[in-house]
Amino acid sequence: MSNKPNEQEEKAVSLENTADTFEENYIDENILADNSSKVKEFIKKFLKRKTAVAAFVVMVFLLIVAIAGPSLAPYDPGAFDYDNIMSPPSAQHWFGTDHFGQDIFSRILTGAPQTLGVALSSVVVGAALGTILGLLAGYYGGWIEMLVMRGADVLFSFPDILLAIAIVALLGPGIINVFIAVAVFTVPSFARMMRSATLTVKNSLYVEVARSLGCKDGRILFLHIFPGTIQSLIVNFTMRIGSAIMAASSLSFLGFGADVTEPEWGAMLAQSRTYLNTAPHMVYFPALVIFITVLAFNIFGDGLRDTLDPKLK
Amino acid sequence: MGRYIARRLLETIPLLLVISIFVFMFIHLLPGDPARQLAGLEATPEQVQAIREEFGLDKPLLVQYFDYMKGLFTGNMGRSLKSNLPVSEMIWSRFQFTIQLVFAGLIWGPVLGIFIGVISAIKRGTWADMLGMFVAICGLSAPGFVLGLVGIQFFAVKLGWFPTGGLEGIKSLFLPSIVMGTGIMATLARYSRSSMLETLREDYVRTARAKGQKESIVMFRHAFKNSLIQVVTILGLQIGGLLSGSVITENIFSIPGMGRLLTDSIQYRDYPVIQGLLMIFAVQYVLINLIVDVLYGVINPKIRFD
Amino acid sequence: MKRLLTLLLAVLMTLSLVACGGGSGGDTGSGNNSGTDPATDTTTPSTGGDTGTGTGTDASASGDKSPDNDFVIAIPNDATHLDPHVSSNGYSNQITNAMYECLLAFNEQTEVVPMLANEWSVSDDALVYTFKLRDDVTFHDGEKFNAEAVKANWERGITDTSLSLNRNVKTWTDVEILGEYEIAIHLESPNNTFINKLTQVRMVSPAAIAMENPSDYLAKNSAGTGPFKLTERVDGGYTKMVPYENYWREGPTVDSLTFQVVPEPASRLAMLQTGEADLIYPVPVTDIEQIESDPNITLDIRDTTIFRYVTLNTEWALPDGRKPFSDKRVRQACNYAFDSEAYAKVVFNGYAKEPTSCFADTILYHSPNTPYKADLEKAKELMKEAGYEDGFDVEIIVDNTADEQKGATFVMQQLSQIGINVKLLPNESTVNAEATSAPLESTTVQMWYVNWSSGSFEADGSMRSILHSEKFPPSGYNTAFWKNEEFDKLLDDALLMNDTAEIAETYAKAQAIAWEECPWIFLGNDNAIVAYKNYCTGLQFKPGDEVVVTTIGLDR
Repeated sequence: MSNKPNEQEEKAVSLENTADTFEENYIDENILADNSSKVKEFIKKFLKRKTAVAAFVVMVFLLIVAIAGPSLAPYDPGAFDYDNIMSPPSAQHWFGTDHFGQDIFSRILTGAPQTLGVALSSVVVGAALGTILGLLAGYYGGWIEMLVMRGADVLFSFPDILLAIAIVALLGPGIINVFIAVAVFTVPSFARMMRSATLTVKNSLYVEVARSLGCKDGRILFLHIFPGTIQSLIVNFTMRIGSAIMAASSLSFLGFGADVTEPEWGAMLAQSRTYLNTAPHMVYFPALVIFITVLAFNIFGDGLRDTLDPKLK
Repeated sequence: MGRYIARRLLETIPLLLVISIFVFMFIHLLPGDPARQLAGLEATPEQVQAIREEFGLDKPLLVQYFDYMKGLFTGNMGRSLKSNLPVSEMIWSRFQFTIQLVFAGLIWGPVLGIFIGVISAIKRGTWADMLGMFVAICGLSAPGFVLGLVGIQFFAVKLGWFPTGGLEGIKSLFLPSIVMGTGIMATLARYSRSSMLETLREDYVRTARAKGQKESIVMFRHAFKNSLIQVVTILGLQIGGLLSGSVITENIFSIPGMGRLLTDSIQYRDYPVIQGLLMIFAVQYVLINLIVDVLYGVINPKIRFD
Repeated sequence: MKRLLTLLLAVLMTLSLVACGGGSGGDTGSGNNSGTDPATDTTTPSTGGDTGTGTGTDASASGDKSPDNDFVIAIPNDATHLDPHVSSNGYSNQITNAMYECLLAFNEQTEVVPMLANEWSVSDDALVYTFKLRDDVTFHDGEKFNAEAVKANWERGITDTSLSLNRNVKTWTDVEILGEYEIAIHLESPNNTFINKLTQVRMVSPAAIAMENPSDYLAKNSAGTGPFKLTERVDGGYTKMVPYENYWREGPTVDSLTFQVVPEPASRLAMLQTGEADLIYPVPVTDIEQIESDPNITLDIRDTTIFRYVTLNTEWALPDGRKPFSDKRVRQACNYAFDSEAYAKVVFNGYAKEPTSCFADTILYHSPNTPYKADLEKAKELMKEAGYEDGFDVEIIVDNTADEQKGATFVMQQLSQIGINVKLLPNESTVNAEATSAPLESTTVQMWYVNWSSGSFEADGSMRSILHSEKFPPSGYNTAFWKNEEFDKLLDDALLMNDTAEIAETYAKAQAIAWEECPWIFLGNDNAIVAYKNYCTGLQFKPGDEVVVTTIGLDR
C-alpha cells in the first residue's frame, strides 16, 4: 500500500487494472500526511489552485484579524457618541457609525474573534460528533444505525428555536447559546451525510479488499472508509462555517443570539436591519464581512477537496 | 420493498411516542407560565390561578400527559390555550400557507441548484464552474432577512412589480419564492457538484467511459444518476426543514405559516399547539426520510433494504 | 481570478445600487398598485359626507384616490382572542373594539363620553351609578341591547374569574334593572376608577353569553354592537370584517376592514408605500423622515399612555451585603446620570417625551415635577456621598425584542458613566413575567427595563400595581420592592374620594413622593406614530394609541 501516486500512470490506466490502481492510489492519497514528500506534493498541487490560494490568504488574514483585531481597532467598540449616530462612512469612521454612534469598523474588528471562534468551534464539535456517529451508523448498520438515525430524526424534527430557548432558559442568555445550538444542529446533518457517504464507500472494492485482508473494523473505518468520505466532509464543513455565522444572525433576529452589547457580526447584522432604508451602511458592512468570510471558507474548501482528489489535476 | 416500508412505518410509532414524552416534558419544564402570559400584566394572582385551573395546568404533569395522549388517540389534539381554537384546525390553516411557500421554493431551487452543480462538476476549473460556485456561495452567505428586505424594497416598493408578501395569488409568491429557493439552490449546487465529482471518478464511470460509451450517456446515466444519492439526502433534509416553517421568511413576508405559529405559541407557552406542531414535524420528517431511503434503493440498487 | 474579482465587483455594485435606491427614499412614482385586489366590488355608493369627524385628513391636498374600498390596517401582533371578555392587551383591544362597544367611551381629549349609555348620574355616597341606555341598539346576532344585556355581561364577569372582564366588574355588587333601558350599578365602596373601568366593559350579546361555551363561539363570530362584524379570520394572519348593516349611528363607508398581522416593521412600511395597506401602526421611528417625504402618506404623531422606566430593586444586595439601591442617593444618581433627552433621540429618533412624573401626562391627574436633568457631576457626587464612587456590577432584565434591547443598551451606556456596570439579560417576555412575579425572598430581579400603561387611563391604575407596597410580587409588579407608607396612604385615600380637585391634589402629592424617592430610573414616554394614505377619511384616535374605526372611509 505504498505505491506512489503517479498522474502519468493514472491517465494511462487500462480497463483491466482500473480497480486495483484506483484502490491503492486512493488509500495512498489519504494517508499521505504520513509522508513528508507527499505533503510537499500536496502543497505544490494546492498552490496551482489560484482561487483557493487567494481564499487561503483571506482566511489567514481573517485569523490574524481575529487575534490582533481588538488591538488594531481605532476606537473603543463600546464608545458611544450620541452626536454622531448613523453617520455614513468617512475618513474618521471608515465604515460609518451605528445607532449609538459606535464605530462600525472597530466593532467588526473586535467582533472577529467571537464571531469566528464561535462559528469554528461549534462546527468542529458538531461535525466531529456527527461524523463519528454517521460512520458507525453507516458501517455497522443494524441497531446502531437505527439508534443514530432515529436520534437524528428527533433532533431534526425539533425546531432549533425551541432548543435555543431551552438553552437560554438553562444557561441564561448569551453567545454560549449560539455555540450549543449550532453544534447540536450540526450533529444530525453530519451524521446523515456521513452515513450515506459511508454506505456508498462501504460497497467499494477497496473496502471489500481491506476487509478480506482481515483488517479490523476500527482500522477499516478510520483508514479506509473515513478517507473515502473526506471530500463530502470538507465541503459540508466549510459550508457549515458560513451557515453557523448565519445561524447566529438568525438567532439574534429572533432575540436569542449573542449579547446585543457585544459586536458579534450576526447580531450586528440582525440589529441593523431596521436601518436598511435610513442607514444602509449599517447593514452592508457587516453583511460584506460575513460574505467575504463565507466565500473564503467555501472556496478554500473547494480547493482543498479538489487537491485531495487524485483523479483531477 | 413493501415490507420494508411497512416495517419502517411501524418503527415510527415508538419513535413518535418517545418524541411525545420528550416534547411534553421539555416544554413543560421551560420557564414561563401560559396562565400568566394570557392573563396579562394587570391580572391579579387569583385570576392567574383561575386560568391555570381552567386549563388543567395545576394538575400533576403525568396526569396532564395522559390526558393529552388520551385525546391524541381519539384524534383530538386539544385546544389552544390562547385562542380556544382546536389545534388541528389551527395547524391545518397554517399548513396550507407553509406548503405554498415550500412549493414556491422547490419550483426552481433544486432544479437550478442541481443544474449548476452538475455543470460546475463537468466543466470544473472553467469560468462556468467559478460562476456557478460564486452564485451558490452568494446564496449561502446572504441571510434570508437581508435578501427579503432588499427584495421588498426593490421589487415591491421601487418597481412595484410584486406585492410585498402575503399569499394572495401567484404574484405574491414571487418574493418569498426567491428567498426560499435561494437557500435550496445554493446548498444543492454545492452538494451536487461535490457529489458529481465523486461519482465521476468512480470505477463504474471510468469503466463505462473506457467502454467507449458516449460522454453524455456516461455523464447522465452513470455519473449523474449515482451522484443523486447524496443530493437526495440533502434535499430531503431541506424539505423537512422548510415544512416546519421558516419563521424569518414568514415574518418578513407576513405569511401566517407554521414557523410563526410555533414562535407565537412558544411566546405564549401555548402547550397544546407546541406539542401538536412538534408531533406533526416529527411525522413529516419520518415520512420524508422514508421516501429518501426508498429513493436510495431506486437510484442505487446495490443498497439493500434489510 | 480576474473574472472572479470582476464578478465580486459587479455584485457589490448591484448591492450598493439597491442600497442607494433604498436610501434616497420618497420617490414620487411609488404609488404603483401591484394588482393584488381582483376588484371584487365596485357598486357600493360612497356617502362620503362624514368629514366633520375627520382629524385633518386632507385627501384633497394630493390628487390620489383609493383603488378599492377595502380598508387594510397593518399591525405587528394579532389579538390573542376575539372574545372581548378574555383578551385585554393593546392589539386585542384594537381589533375587538371594531366589533364591540361599551356603555361609555373616551374621546380624543381623554374625556368620558356617552356610547351605549345616553346619560348617567351618581348617588351622593358614590355607591350607586344610574345609567339610561340607548333604545335603538342591536347586537350583530339580532339580539336587543337593553338592561338585561348589561346584567348578563356583569354576571359573566363575576362568575368566571379567569376572564379579564372580571377585574373590571368585580367591585360591582349588583346590577339593578330599573326599566327596559335603565340600570343602576351598585358598588361595595366608592371608587374613582369606576367610570374609567366602565370604558373597558365591552357588551356582548346575551344570546352568546348564554351558550355552553361562549368563548368558542366568540372566537369565530362577533356578537357586539360595534360598526363591524367578523367575516373571516386566520389566527395570526388577518381578521376581516364588514360593516354592520343595523349599526345604531352613522358608521363606516368602506366595504370591508382587514387587520393584517405584519410583524416586520420594514414590511409594514413597504405595504403602506405600495398601497397594500392603507394604515400602519406603529411606524418604525427610524423611517419617519422617509415617510415625511412621501406626499401620499400622512403621519399622525401623538403622545401615548406608555411610560418607560427601569425598576431598581431596593432590597437587592451586593456580594458584600451592601444594598446600593436602598440608598436614595444612588437611585437619584442613576436618574441624574440618565440623559432622557438623548434617550428620546437615540432610541426613539426624537419621538418620545422626557418624563416629569411616574406616569404619562396623557393620564388624568398627572402632575409634573422638576425633571432630573442629565448632570454627570451631580450623579458622581451622589455616588461618592453614598459610598459607591467605585461603582458596582448589576444585571438588568429586559424583553428580547430588538427595541427593548436597544433601550436597555442605552441604559447600560448611561450608567457606565458613573461606574455602574450593567449586564443585559434579554429574555422572552413570559420568562421575565415569571422572574418578576417571584416574591422578595426568591427574586432574582436587580433591575428591570419595562413599561406600563393603564388601559383605562386612570392614575390609580398607573401607580398602584407597580409602586404600592401591597403590590410586591406576586400580588403586583412593584419589583423595586419600594415601600413608602405615606405614598401608599395617599393612593388608598384618593381611591375613595369623589371630589376631583381633592383627588388631583392627593395624586399630585403621591407623585411628588415617587419622583423624589425615585425607586425607578424614569426613562420617558414614547409617541404613537400612525401613518396612513391621504385618501383615508373619518379616522379618529383614542388618547392612548388606538385607531377608532367607527367612521372610516376611503376617498375614491
